[in-house]
Amino acid sequence: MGTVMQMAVPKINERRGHMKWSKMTKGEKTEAKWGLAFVTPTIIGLLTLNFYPIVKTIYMSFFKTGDFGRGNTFVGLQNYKNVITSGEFWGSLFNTVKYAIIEVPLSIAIALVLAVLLNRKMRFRSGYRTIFFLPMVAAPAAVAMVWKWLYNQQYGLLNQLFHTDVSWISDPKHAWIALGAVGVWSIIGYNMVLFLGGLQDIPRDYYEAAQIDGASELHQFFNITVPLVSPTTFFIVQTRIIAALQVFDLIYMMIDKTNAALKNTQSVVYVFYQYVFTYDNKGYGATMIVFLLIFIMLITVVLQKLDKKIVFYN
Amino acid sequence: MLENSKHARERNCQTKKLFKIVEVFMKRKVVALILTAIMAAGMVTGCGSNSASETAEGNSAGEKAEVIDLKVWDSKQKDGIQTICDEWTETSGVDVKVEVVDWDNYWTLLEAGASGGEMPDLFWMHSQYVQKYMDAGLLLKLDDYIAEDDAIDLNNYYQDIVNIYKSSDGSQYAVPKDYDTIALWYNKSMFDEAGIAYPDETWTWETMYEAGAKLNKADSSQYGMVGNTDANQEGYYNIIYSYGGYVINDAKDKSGYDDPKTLEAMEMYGKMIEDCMAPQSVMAETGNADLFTSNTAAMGMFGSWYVPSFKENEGASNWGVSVLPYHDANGNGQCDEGERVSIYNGLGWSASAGTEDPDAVYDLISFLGSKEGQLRQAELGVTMSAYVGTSKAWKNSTDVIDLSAYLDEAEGAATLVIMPSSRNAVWAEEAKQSFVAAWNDTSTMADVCRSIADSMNASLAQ
Repeated sequence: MGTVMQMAVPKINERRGHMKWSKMTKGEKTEAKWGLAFVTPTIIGLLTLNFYPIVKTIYMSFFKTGDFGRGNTFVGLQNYKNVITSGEFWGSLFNTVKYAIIEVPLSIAIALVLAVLLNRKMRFRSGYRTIFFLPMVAAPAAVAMVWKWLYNQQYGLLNQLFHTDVSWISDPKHAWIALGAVGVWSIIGYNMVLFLGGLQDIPRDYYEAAQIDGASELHQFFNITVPLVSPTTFFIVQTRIIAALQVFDLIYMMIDKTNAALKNTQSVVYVFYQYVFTYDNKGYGATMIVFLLIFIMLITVVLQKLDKKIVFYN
Repeated sequence: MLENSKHARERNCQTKKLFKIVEVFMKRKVVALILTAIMAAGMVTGCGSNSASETAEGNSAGEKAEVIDLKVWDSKQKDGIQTICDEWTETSGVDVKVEVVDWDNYWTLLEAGASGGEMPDLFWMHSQYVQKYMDAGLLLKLDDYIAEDDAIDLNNYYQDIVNIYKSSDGSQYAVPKDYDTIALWYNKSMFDEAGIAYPDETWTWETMYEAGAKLNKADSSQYGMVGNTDANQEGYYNIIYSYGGYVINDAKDKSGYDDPKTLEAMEMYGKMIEDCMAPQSVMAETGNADLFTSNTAAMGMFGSWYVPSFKENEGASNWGVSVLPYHDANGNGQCDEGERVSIYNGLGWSASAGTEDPDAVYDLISFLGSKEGQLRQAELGVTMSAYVGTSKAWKNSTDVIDLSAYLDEAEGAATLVIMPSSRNAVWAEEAKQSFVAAWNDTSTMADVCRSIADSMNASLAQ
């Protein structure tokens, strides 16, 4: 148990450390070769599908791109200047952060509570678990389409149910909250499953001891569960922040191009998509994404530093 | 025999081992780890752009194609196009596979294909994009083929549409497929209920405004008309040209959005938005066509390309189609030349310059563009055809709705103005978004128009 956490936080349990090829036994060499053979497909995939595009994107950010990738002209830092001085970019970054602020804490808090509830012995437990996990299995585009119609001002179920006439996803004031709610809804199940894994790592003894001492369930939750599950929490926080900052499909599917709230909801990746695929300005789009990359890296560094202070390791 | 069973047992044993490994992996949540790794690696953006040379390499003439890959963006036309292509397959022996990709993704896909050297053999081309593709040399040059072909004479088609697909050096890169006009759709029962006469050729924009205002109900259960900002060709472009304004000048270097006549037209449209139309948020969320077809809006201007989907609707018999209203500029009480305008446009059949078997692909283009092919297209109700005089049959493809208005406009009832566009059509997309503010507060219409003109002029100057 606990493999997930240990892999995510690699400094723990470095049992073997660094080994020299010449000092290995025959068996160890064979093992190492097989290990390499097994990870090769993944490495190749990462190199061609992730690293090559990253390099290419950074390269393109220095160019004014021509049609169909031809006739690119080098413009130095012009794209960077344009992005920094563009209100649209900073606006979209602000929108993205707003979205993350809703999605990450809410989805984690709700998922933790659900995980604790569904970790007890109860009837239909796996049924409930499945239900909460289902949104994760559905295609994000399909989820977005269903919610788009739930939110629809003229025919939407929400307005019919409450007899209101609210433009849920078109009012610049609260459209971002409506979007965030869908984000939370669709990710809860996934976080919950990770938490369930983390909860298995907490020894039962602690709870039994606490019960004997007369601690209430609530006390147990805050004083045993929350601290002891914190490696999992930290892992989820980190991956969810990264994912939330890259939000695109929800917005692309739910917010129409002529939606009045577009300017208040479009994320960095959405604007990037617009520039690259609609306005055919790939250099500028690439530059935006480089900024997003830097931003995400900064956040990750900060989180890694916090890791030592906040997370409780057994 | 013995050997075989031994092998089988070994294999069986191996399979069991494999299952065992998988089981262990599952237990250790490696699967969960992989999932999270995928997520953490996340979406790294790749904008594939390969070198240009690749596209040309696929062109090894003389090779025979087995299947022609044909891409279109309108699912409603797919069956009809497939039928015509199958008729061609009977004589040529080459199969044609028609695939639909919706408008937005169509151009993303085509561009990615063009960059990576994997374009479909045959596809629809559109005025908004054709220049880019012609300049990059991605389309098959058709001049020599047309010169030798008796079935195709470019003089037989609407000339504006032929010219869209002609490069600056006079070469032809597409054979016209169809043309479209815009007409006014109305909901008969709503007009009956309100006691208003149906729209006809006597209507001016003012008449339309008055009727729309009466049909608009305060409780948002019924709207007088619909027309979101994204409906330019089938919306405000028509009123702009009818008032004598323009969107872009002929030299394609100046915006017409600050022209006084354009402003007058847009102010008029603004009145309609204010008093007759659904709130902009509703139109954006639901779409003009859905609001009209769900009997929520009494009127809407729609292009002829909507007909295949509208006529299949259960409630279609409740709808009528009229020519667009006109603007009585000279005040003589009747519609004169240029006062009623329908924007028109037309698609073309283009082939990839890198197609494996250009002869077969051209043969199919020729079949689709010939008088017979164009008649077939109209007959099957796919669209009106670009070959002048072959579209009458299109009207008869449905007996539920009278489609005469669309044809009348092309035959003198209206002045046809070709869809305004330029090589870099970013301004059209930007205007759709900029107008959102004016739709939500129509008092800002003139200011928004002027600011669109400014940014459009800047974009055209690049």
